[in-house]
Amino acid sequence: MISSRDHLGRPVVAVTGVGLVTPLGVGVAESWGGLLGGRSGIRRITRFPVDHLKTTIAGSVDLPGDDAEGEAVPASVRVERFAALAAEEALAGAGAGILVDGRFPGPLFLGMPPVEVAWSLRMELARRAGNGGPVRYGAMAEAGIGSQQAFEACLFGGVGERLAVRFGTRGLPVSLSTACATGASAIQMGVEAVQRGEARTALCIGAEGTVEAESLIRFSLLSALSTRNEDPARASRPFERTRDGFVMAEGAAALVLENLEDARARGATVLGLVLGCGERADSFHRTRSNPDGGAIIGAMRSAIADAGLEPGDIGYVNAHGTGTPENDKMETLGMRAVFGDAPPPISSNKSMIGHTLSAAGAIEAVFSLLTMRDGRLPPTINHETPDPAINLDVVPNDAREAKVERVLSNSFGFGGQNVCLVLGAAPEG
Amino acid sequence: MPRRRRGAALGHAGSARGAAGGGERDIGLDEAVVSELAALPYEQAGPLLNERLAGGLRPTLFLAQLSNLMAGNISIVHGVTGSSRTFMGEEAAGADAVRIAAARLAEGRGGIALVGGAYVAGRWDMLLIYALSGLLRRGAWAPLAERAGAAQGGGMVMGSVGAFLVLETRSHAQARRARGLAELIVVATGAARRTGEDTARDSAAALVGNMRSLLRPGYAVVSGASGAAGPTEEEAGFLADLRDAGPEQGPVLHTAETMGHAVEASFPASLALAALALGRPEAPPQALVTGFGVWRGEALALLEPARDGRGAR
Repeated sequence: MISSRDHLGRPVVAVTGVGLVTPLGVGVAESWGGLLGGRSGIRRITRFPVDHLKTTIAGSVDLPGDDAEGEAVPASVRVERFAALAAEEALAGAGAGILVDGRFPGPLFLGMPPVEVAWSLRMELARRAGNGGPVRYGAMAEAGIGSQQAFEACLFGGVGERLAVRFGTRGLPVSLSTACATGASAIQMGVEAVQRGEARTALCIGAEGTVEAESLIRFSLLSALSTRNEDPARASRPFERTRDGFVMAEGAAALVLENLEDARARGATVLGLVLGCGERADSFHRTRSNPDGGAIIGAMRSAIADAGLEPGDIGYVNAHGTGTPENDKMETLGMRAVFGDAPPPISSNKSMIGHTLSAAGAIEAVFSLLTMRDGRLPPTINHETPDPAINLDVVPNDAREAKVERVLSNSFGFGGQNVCLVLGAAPEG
Repeated sequence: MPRRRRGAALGHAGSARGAAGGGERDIGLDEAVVSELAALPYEQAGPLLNERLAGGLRPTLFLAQLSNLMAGNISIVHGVTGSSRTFMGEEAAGADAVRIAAARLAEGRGGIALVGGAYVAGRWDMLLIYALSGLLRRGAWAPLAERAGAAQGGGMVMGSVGAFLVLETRSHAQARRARGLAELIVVATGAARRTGEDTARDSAAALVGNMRSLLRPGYAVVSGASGAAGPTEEEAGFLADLRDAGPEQGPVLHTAETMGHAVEASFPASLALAALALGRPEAPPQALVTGFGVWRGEALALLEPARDGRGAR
């Protein structure tokens, strides 16, 4: 039986519940089954008009009622729905024994995109302010005075607060954003809270719901998105020679983290462990990595060191693998720098679910745990023309059987915020 | 760094970490779009909205809109290359950024952290959100105590503030011969639901529970009361309770009085002013810093003059 303290004397952090919402489906079983089957969740966008968009495909999660009354549901509402669905599944998995008086006895760490005023609200305020002529912001503000519900919908803390009420989490909910590393950061915050004894359990969520016209246009302006609109399922091509950008996607993952000792004491099923976290900020450029890969390499190495391991102990890497020419090249550089001439297999979930942005780090951490549980590496699909510059085993096209004890999960963000997690298989006994 | 955004950021040991809100929008583009499209049915407005945005949005503005890029820019400008975290959630983001940075230093994860926030008040896209709340002061500026309550439209005046603090362990500060401005004794945050009996006043009282025995006669209060009627009254009630329970309360300073309410930057700014005040010769023995979010979030911190003129714990 492994100790309940790690190599630094900190409590070992167990994962006792997980929940998923992905473009492959609602729920862990459907998402994981789709991933192992090499199924793509990328499709043509139907939820809103795509006229004049350069990219018209996405890993959109369409729930019933999402396009009610023809008007787009605001992104923050969708973020909250996905987060709540994932959290419900995670808490059900952790078992009723974790609740105290029906409430979750720990903090909420929520990784999510910034909340923006929805166009539907701006239009509504403009109609209220309407005088037939040009509408100015001042008139919209005047027209909106006292709209408490709209006010709460615009607050950055609103989603976290409503989830905290719903699940009865303790203390102030912490909402955070580290761009594409957000989901991993939310887990890291929970791990640290348990490690320093501030909490015995934590609910960590990464959620994304911003597949909408303005976001697509913004990413297109940065030339970040794939434009293979004619063949959605084949558009996301991480590590492949003809890759031309990432595919926006959405969804959520929730993890119940728990002090291993407590989890054992209450007889909980431990799905796996979070052994280490590493982070490094890049000071080079707002959207590009330093060509020396220093921050990526540093984040990977510090996660492995934080887990008390050596690179050789890692059996599989869950890639950031966005499918942009730049990311995949830099990630390859990082892999070779950290693991040398014999890097472990690495595959990109994003080849099937797209880039779920603020949710990605959390979704991919859950997939990493399932990889170890089932002894199966999910593939990187759409691997047709190998890129000679990518000298890695990317588990092309088909899932592979492999017994893995430790997984490194990479998340690299715009703004240079890089977070890596080391996850471990459930301890025996 | 973009000149206009709101948020709070926190930096850490040889690494960067941060917290923030949203950035600037293209006001002119927004106004042109709603002027043209608001009256149209959704089926017509949707495609036209795409067309106007595709032609009008600029890539640089998108980067200014991402909350985490305030911290990203701080990394670039100041070479902070460890970790970087950006918290979101109005006043609470600024307070929890400080709390978590201090907790990480206390447990030995690094020796130094950069933490703070920034908020820009003088933009319509920012004011629109607080206009919705109905809590903004209307008419001429007035001292906090004289501002009308909610019945007259609320009493909040927003303020543009950037406030960052270097937090450092005593040993880290001593090793580089740095003088501490003040010692951060406790920082705590709470989350009243603000319905029924779950009040902000009681939430703050629970937070002060652990630090009550530490309070010394004459402690100053650096209050982050926003001027928004409800939470400002709750805070006044909390301070009155504290005064009644003793020890004797010293001067009470409302930072929103002079700076306006700076949301994510409010708590870091109040902390910074308290730290500076404690460094003066006639300083009170302690400063209790309060933060009461306009909608949610309560925060308290207790500061003392730096011992031996040196850094924090």
